[in-house]
Formats: sequence, structure tokens, C-alpha cells
Amino acid sequence: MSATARPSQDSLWTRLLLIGGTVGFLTLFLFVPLALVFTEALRKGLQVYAEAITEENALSAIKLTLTVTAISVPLNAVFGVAAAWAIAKFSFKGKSLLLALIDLPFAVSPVVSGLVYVLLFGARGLFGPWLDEHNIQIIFAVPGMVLATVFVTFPFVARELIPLMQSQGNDEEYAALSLGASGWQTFRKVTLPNIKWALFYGIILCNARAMGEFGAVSVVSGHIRGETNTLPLHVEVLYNEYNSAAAFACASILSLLGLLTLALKTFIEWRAGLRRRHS
Amino acid sequence: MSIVLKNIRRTFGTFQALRGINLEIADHQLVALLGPSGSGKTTLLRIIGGLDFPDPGNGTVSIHSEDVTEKPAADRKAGFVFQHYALFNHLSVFENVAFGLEVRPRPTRPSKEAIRDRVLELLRLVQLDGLEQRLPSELSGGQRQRVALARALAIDPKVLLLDEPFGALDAKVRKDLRRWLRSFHQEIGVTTVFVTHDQQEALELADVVVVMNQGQIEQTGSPQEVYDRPATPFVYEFLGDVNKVRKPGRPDLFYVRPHEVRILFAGDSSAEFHAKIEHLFAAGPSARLSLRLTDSRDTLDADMTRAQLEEMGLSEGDEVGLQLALTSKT
Amino acid sequence: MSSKRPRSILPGFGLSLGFTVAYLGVIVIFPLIMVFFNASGLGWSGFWQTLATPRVLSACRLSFGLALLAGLLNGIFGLMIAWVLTRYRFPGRRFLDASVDLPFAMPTAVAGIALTALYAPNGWLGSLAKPYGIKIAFAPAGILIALVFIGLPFVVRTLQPVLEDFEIAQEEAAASLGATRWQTFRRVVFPQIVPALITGTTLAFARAVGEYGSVVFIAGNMPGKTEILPLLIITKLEQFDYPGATALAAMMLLISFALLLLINFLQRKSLGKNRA
Repeated sequence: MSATARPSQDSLWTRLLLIGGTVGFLTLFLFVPLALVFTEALRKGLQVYAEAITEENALSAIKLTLTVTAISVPLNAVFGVAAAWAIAKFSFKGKSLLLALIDLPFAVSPVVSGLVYVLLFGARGLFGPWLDEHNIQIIFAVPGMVLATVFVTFPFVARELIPLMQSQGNDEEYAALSLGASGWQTFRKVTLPNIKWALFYGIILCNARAMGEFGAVSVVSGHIRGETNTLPLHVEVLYNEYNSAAAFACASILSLLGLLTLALKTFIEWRAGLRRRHS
Repeated sequence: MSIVLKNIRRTFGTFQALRGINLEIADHQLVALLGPSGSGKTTLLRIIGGLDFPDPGNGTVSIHSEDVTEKPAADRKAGFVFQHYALFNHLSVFENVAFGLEVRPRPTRPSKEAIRDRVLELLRLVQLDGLEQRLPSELSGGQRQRVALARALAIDPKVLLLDEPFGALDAKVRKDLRRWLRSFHQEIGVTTVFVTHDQQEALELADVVVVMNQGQIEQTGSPQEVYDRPATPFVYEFLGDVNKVRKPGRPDLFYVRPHEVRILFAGDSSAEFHAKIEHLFAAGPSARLSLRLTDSRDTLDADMTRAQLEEMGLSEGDEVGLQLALTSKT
Repeated sequence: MSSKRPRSILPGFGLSLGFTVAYLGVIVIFPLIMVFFNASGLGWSGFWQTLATPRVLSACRLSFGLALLAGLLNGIFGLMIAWVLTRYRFPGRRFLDASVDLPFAMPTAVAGIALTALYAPNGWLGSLAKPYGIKIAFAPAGILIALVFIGLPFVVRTLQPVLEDFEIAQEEAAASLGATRWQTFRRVVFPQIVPALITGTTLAFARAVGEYGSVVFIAGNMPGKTEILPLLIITKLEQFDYPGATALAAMMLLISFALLLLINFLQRKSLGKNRA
């Protein structure tokens, strides 16, 4: 191509400069830190790496992370579907307020997200004395960590489904009902297939955040090794004990999880032609 | 000559959008590039305007005897009016029209007052005076069209290029604007090229019609020429309705327009063909007959006036005789 | 949404809305209200006294100042990245595009220790800065880096759809009117993407103010120097200073709500404009 660049095209030099800037910035801020995680994890060899992730406390941290995730993600998925059904399929007063409230947890600092439950269920919280009397522990125990995780991952599924279902309208559901389908059949055979990719997408994002959440869970966790440490908290403990290799070994598992999430997310965007939205 | 195009080729991937276009456009003419979608007419217009370029080494563009093939759009002074107007949404009507003057380098930029005068004059010319503070979103389609026109004229263009100028307007506005553009062109006299897929529009408006198909020019001529003496079967079919008729015992196709079919009584000895009226549609001053030829079983449309129809007392199912002014096109 | 549709014949309205509102109320609304309820127990003067300590004020300055700076940096670099990803075609573009979400996908604690190890005086990059007497990790510069990392996707992902939908013909129109490429960008493209740019920057800022996991490792956490607001809340909790933690939380919540309103307003405004 000679001097005849199309008018909506930047000059070759501009393009090279900006592409170079982009590659440089992303390398510095994303790829180098990512590479460092794996380098540090394997610095002392595979043996140390394997020991770090199969050690008893690490395994129990993994188990706790999976438990917390396995409870909170389905809860938020069910909520997301219900909220999207109500908001997208019906008109009612206060809908935009409801929409704004659903997004609220994203605006709240993770630390505050954990704190709100301490204020409710902690020893000096509103329900503290009552819980104490009945010997129920929520804060510094698994229920509190589930609550905090549910809070921070609250909007993920709903905000993927609502705009999609709004744009799809109700025609297909009306058609199904007019053909004699029951409400449940209509949902299962018409609505669900139409939203399955968006639902999957929302669940993936929800899952990634649930497994990786640090701040909120840190506040409500008692930091008891082998009992109330999730994997991210375990990473913190190891790091603060200057056990860098083990900390990065555990971090590498979480990083792989993040990469897997990205890959799945990209795949769904490609597969379903979903528009990306920031979360 | 105002615009001279020599042997222009343009390929997109494997698709040949233009396959060697040669065209000369005289000063002050109003020229229509007419063709179906995908015929390359818009690509050609964009190449004249410097928004696109011929394949390297394949063709030259001259405007006012200057070779501008390698010149970017910004240096061509070709006023371009886009199909969807491409008005700057964040700028007022005034600022849109002033844009081309305000982006000039300081030495050639007119003073603030001169720009103001020029813009207001142009807005008067396109009959939009008083709307200069509106945003594009506050205008009707026809008004936006005229803002786009004024904006293109503000740079004193050597040529004016319009891409489907009426494409986005509804039928009524379209007609009014068409008439207005015709007289407007006579007033300003700038060589104007517009792209259209609407043959009616091209024939009514243009001094010269360039009929394009599959990246090539099929015929160039006055509206009368291209309509009455189509150079190719494509032009014949694309401009107005046409019947394709075979003569018994001959393989070639003949073309005849509906208004060229003469309807006679069945027994008339000067009848060359015989046919049966399958359907008759009469509304307004003219009537259209769907006929089926007795010999070849071909179908054919014919137009006649309501008066003729009533005088002959024809109705559906009747047998008639036909005289056809046939031209072979194969 | 503006026009009222007739009530739908679809079933499940009561059930789905009831569940939505109840779940939202229990998980989100009630706990948040409790923060304000607890804070109001302090009274205005108590609230003020808790906040107006040098330690809190310096944490505020640090958190808001660096979050603002990080937002602005993300605005600049995010615009560049969004432009490159939407406008240019080059090998590896899709890979870069997908990788922009890495800060969303990576757990914050992992990002935190990785950035810390990287910029610590003995780290890959920290050791490069050390000879010049520049301290990155355990200094405000380190916090800034973590905040830029965490906020990057917001600007890029807010700008991308706007740039993708931008009418190329407007740029062509500007060129045919004699504008240079830079004039076209500055006078035609930029003014029309400003609302999205501000929205993205505000989102990045809001996230940065509350960020904890990726910052706490690299910050150094020196009271009055490198102690951020969220960490201060945790510190107060660990010292069983519940009123202090609550007051801080209430203040942060109020600020996030204000930002949320601002973002909603901006988004509505930019939508209205684009609809033209």
C-alpha cells in the first residue's frame, strides 16, 4: 500500500506505535506477573511444587474453597434466573430500582461486604447473642464465608440474563403457552434453551469470583488453618510466612483456574456471539 | 472534462468489485450511476471521492485534469454526501456545515465572520435558515440530507458526490427532494455524480445515466438513449418493465416493453400474434393486461389506456390479436 | 421499559419476583442497612470524631488519590488499548483481546503476591528500579500499579462497544471535508466517546477505592503512609473497634453509592446521545 491509506485508517507509524504501546502495556501489567507466578511456583522444582499442593492444609483449603463455591454459585444462579424472569418478562413499578439494587454488590468494597455480616452475626452483632445462646457459629465459620461469597458474586448471573431476556421478548413463550404448554414446560423447553449460553457464561464468571474471592472472605474467616482457610487465604498465610514457593504453587492453581475461566469465556463469546460486558 | 476515470479495477479479497471502468464526465453535468446492489456503483463513487482506491497500478482518477489517483480524500475537494448523511452527532447544524472551513490550516482558514457568513448563506440555499443551532438528532430525514449537502458544499467542492441521496427517505419526501435537487443543481452548476438503484430516479433526474452491472459499465447515455436504445439485455431489463418473447420456430429471445404492445381484435388481419387475456388490472388512467400467447404459451404484460380498453370492450378470458415491435437481444 | 405493557399472561410472576425481592433483601439490602443503622448509633459527632483522625484522613487521601490517578492512567491506556483492539487487524489481536479480562479472572490475592514479588527490591522489575533509589513495592507507586492492574478491563470493555459501533462514515466525511486524521479524531471521534470514557474511568476508580486483595501485599501497610482504607477497616475490626470500622464502612458505602448514581447518569446520557 502506498500513500493511499483509506481515510478511516491511521498511518502506518501511528498503528505501529499504538500496537507497540498496547503489547508493551499488557505485557508489563498482565503477562509478566502471570509468568512470574508459574516461575516462582516451580523455582524449587516439581517435587516441592507437588508437596506444596498436596500438603494437608492446602488440600483442606481446596476442599473448603470447593464447598463454599458449590453452595454459593447455585444459589446465585437460581436467583439470577428468577430475577431475570421477573424483570424481563413482566412490567411492574420499581423495576429500574430493582435493577440498580441487584448491581449494588459490585459497588461495595469486598472488605465492607464481609463486614456487614460481622455486624449482623458476629459476637457483638445484632444476632450475636442469640446465635451464641443456641450455639450456632456463622462468623469465623463456613456459613459466614458462604454468605460473604454469595454477596460479592450476587449480580453475575442476573446481569448476564436480564438484558438478553429483555431483548428476546415474550413471543416464543406466548406461542408455547398458546400451544398448550404448561408454565414449567414453557420455561424448560423454550426459555431455557434460549438463555443457556448466557446462563453458562454468568455461572463461569460467578464461579471464578467465588473461588478467588479474598477480601470479603478474609473478614469473616477466622484464619484457622485446615478449617476456615480457603485457597486464596492459604496463599496469604504461606506468603506471609515467607514460604514463597508454596504460596506461588497454590497461586498457580488459582491462576490456572483464571486462565480456564478466560478460555471458557472466550469460547462462549465466540460460540454464542455474546457481546462482552464489563463486570 | 470534470472527471476522467481510466481502466479502474478494485478487488476485495477474491471479489472483483470493479473490472476496468472507463468514464468521462463533462463539466456541470448531473450524472447518475445506476445499477443493482453489488454492481460496484458505490465503490466507484468512493474511489472518485478518495474514500477508497483502485488496486495499485490499476487505473487512474483525474479531477479537473489533475491526476488525483494517489491523493487522499482530504486533499481532493470532492464534496461527499453519505447515504446515511454521517452528520457529526455532537455538533450543531451550524458547526457541521462550518467543519470543513474550520479544519483548514491557519493560512487558508477564513475568518470567523467569513465562516459565519458562508455557513448562513449555505443554510439559506438549502432552505434550512433558522435551524443552525439544532442538533442532527432534532432534524427530519429530509433536513439532515440538506445539512449534509450544505456541509459538502461549504468546501467549494470541484465535484459533488452523492451516495444514494434519497435512499433513506420515505416516498413523498423523496419525490419533493428529487425535484428540488434538480433545480438546485441548475442553480449551483457543480458537476454532480449520484449513485442510485432506482431507475425512475436516474431517468428523471440525470443528464447522463451510467448503467452498471457486475463491476462494469453496460451503457452510458442520456436517459432517453438508455431507455429507448438499450445497449445490452441487462439494460433492457433493468430500465423499466420488459417482456421476453420467443417466435415460433426460432431459438432467440425478443424484448418488448408493455407499452409497446399493440392490442387488436382477435379477427384483425394485421395481428402477428394471438393471445388470451388471463388477468386484467385497471386502476387509474391506464390498464395492465396479463396475456398468454396462443402459440408459445409465453406470458406477456401489456399496457393500454382505460379509454382504449373500454372502447374495445375487453374483459378477462377474451382472445385478442397483438402487434409487437420486437428487437432481438440475444 | 418506558411504556407500560399490559400485564403478561406468562405464569410465575409472583413467585419469581417474590423470591428475587426476598433474596435481595436478606443477602444485600438488610445487611447494608444495618451498617447505616449501626453507624447512626454513633451520632453525627461520634461519626465525625471516628473519621477525623490523622490516620483515617491519610488513608482517605491515599486511597482516593491513588484510585483517581489509577483511573486516569486507565483512561489513557484503556483508550489506546480499546482503539487498537477495535480498529486494527494484526496477528495476536484476539489473544490480546481475551487477555484484557485477566484482572477479572485472576484472584486478587494471586495478583497481589505476583505484583509484590515482581516489584519488590529483589524482584524482576523492582531490582531494575533499585539502583536509581526508586522504591515501588511497599510504597505508593506499588499501590498505584496494583490499582491500574485491577481497573484496566473497565475502561477497555466500556469503550470497545462504543468504538465498534462508531459510524465510520463520519470519519470519512471529516476526511472528505479536508480534516487531517488527528483533527478527525480530536473533533469528531473523541467528543462522541467521552461519555463512555468517563464511565469506564469512574468504574475503574470505584473499584480501586474499595480494592483490597491485590493491594494489601504490595502496599507495605504503614499507618499514615501506605495504609489504604479497606485495610484500615480490617485493622479496626481486628482490634474490635466495631464503631470505627462501621463508620468507615458507612462512609465508603455512601461514596460508592454516589459513584454508582454518577455512572448510571453517565450511561443514560451517553445512551441518549447515541440513539440520535
